[in-house]
Order: sequence, then C-alpha cells, then structure tokens
Amino acid sequence: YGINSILYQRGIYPPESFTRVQKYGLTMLVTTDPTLNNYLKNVVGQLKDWLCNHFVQRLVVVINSIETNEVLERWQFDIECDKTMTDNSQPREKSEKAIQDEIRSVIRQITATVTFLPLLDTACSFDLLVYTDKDLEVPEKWEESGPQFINNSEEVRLRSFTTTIHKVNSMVAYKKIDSF
Amino acid sequence: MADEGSRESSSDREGDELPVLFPGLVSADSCCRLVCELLKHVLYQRQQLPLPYQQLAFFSRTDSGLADSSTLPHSRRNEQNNCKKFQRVLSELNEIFQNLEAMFMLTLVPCVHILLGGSIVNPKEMYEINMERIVFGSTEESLKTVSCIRKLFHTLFVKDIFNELKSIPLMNTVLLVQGHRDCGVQWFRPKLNYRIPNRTRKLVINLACDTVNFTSTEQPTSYNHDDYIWFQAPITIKGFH
Repeated sequence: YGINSILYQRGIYPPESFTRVQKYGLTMLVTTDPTLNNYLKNVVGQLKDWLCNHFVQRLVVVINSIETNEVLERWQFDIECDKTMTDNSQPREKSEKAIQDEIRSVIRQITATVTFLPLLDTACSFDLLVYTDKDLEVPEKWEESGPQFINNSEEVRLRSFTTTIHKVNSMVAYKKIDSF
Repeated sequence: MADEGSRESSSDREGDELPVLFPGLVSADSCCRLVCELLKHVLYQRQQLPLPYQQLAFFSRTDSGLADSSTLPHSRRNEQNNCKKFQRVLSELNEIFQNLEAMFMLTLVPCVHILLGGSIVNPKEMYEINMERIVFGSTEESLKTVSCIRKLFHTLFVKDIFNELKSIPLMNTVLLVQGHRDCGVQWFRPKLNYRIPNRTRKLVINLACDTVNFTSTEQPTSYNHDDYIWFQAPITIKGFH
C-alpha cells in the first residue's frame, strides 16, 4: 500500500489506472495495471518471506527520469527487526488497531509530502531496492545494485510505526530546489 | 473581549504556533492560495475528507457518469449517495475558494480562522492563519505562489502538527475571515459578535516576510484593528468518509 501510494501521489502512473480501496481505515489508491500488479505481487511476496526470516534492513523506492536516468526522488524505509522473535515466541501485546493507526498516520504523511516535494514534470520510472543481510542468496530475478543516491538533495523524515517485531522508519530525499 | 484600540491576539493563549518566514514579498493572490490550500490540507489531515481535495475532484469527474439511482442495486445506490455527498462538498469548497479570491481582491485580510467541530463560540479545533506580518507586493515583484506554498507545507510537515493517531469523528467546518468593515463584500457575512475562542485546541500559523533586506517602504501593513471586522462564510463544510 505504501508503494502504491507513492506511485499514485507522485504521478509515476496515470491516476486513472488506480482504484480506491478501504484499508487501515483510509481510502487508499491501488493500481489496476496488471503488469505493475504482477510485478508488485512478486516483489512483495519475496519481501514478506525475507521479513519473516529477519533478513531485511531497508526498502528503497527510487524514482528516476526515464530520459536522463537521473535519480529524482528516493523513499527509504529502514526496518529494525527484533531477531529474538521466533515462531515459538509469545505473541506481542500490541493490537492490530494500534498498528493500523500508526500505518494510517504514515500513509497520510506520504500524501502530505505532495504539497512541497518538487514537481516531477518528466516521465519517470521506479526501482525497488531491498537491503538484506550480506550472505543472502539473491533470487534469480533480482540483481545487485548500488544505493542510487541523489546528487544535491534535501530530505525529510516521516513518522515511524512499529509492530513491536518490526519498526519502520521512513524518509524521503529529493533534489534541492534553488529558486524561490 | 478586545481592549479598545488593540487587537486581542489569539496567540497570547495556549496553543501551537508555527512561524513561516518568506524570503521576499508575497502577493495577495499568493496569500489567498495559501489559505485555500491550508483549508484543503486541514480537512484531509483531520479526517473530514477521505482523500485530498485534488484527488476527490479527479474522482468526482470520473464517477459523475453513475446511472440514475432508482435503477441501481442497494450497494451501488450507496456508492452513488457517497458520490453525491462528495460532489456537494466539492461544489461548496469551490464556492468558498472563489469567494475567498474575491475577498482578497476587495480588502487586505490580516487573519483567517478555520473552526472545526463544536460551535463557533466553542469549536473543538481552531486554525488561525495570521498574515499581519506579510509585506505585500505585486505579482511581478513577489515570490512565486508555488514557492510560497512549498515553503508553508514543508514547514508544516517538519513540525509534524497532524500527528494524532486516533480516529477523529466527522465535524462541521466553519471559515471566518477578517476584512475591512467597508470592503463591500456580499457573500461573506459580518460576524460582529465573534469572539476568538479561548478554550479550544489551537494552531496559529504566522505567515511573515523576512524584512531584513527590505527598504523602509517595504514593511508589513499597519492595521487599524478598529477598521477590521470578522466575516463568516455562509457555508458550513460537513465532513464525510
């Protein structure tokens, strides 16, 4: 949902290719594009597997210009994981409602960033980067990548949310705007 | 109650304050846009709209082809009722924005209040947009509107004002605008007995221009507060999910 929100809010895909669903007590926009849906399904499936096994440290959504390949925006989600938690551990006492309230708050913040992030007035594509433990075997359809930082950037932090097993800290970096 | 010859400042009371400093002159048109964008922002962030205004406007155009409700099954009738609700709210908001624009052309507007919930005497939340420290310039000599909007919302974002986690009930939203008593505005109605609420959760957004490098003629307007009164928008925005 976070990735869908970013793709919608930043205009990476046309707004008419999104549909409204209710999730976390919010109206969310999710893609109806079958190719994109399939891609996200595969990525999220792999990500879920890695998350459950405590292998993921960070997820990054990189937005770049198709024409110049320049990185224009970089959404970074740092994931702190309690590795003492196993399948046999006692469940943590944090209600689903409390977690959803926090997620909702972050999604609303992602929406709010549109009010000040630089306009992406060129056709853009996106990449998903997942930072994992070093020795993890890379699945066939994935490849190693650099961090894809932005030259001359500014950044803002978003709120974090925690399930008590995973804590997610978010931020977005974007190209500095010079003119006022 | 205001003391004679001075304006009672709502920032004297308890509440959050957010200073926003613009590095140049700001046009009246930009100020109007800032107020409109803040109204849209508050309504979404305080859960009175299910989506931001621009997105609602987009969906209202794509949803407007729904069939006559009498031929629809119950679930689609609900959908159409929701669609009618949000088209009504959009239409009301558009009317407010148009009339705000007219107001800003008629008079200097030192202050705007957005009141959520409760009553006008005792709202649940109040958002004050104070423009007394703005130095007005023409469009050509002023900062670009889009840059002012970006500066405002970046400041708002970093301050992380709207960080409440709990669900907020639907409320009514009322808009009050200060203007010259003789400005001749028709749509907004004078509210001479309006007193700034003092027992409410409040955010004061102080918009100001950084005057360090300005000439002596480029200074904030000196308002004679006896000449300025409050006007209320005749529309109350009803939140919906």
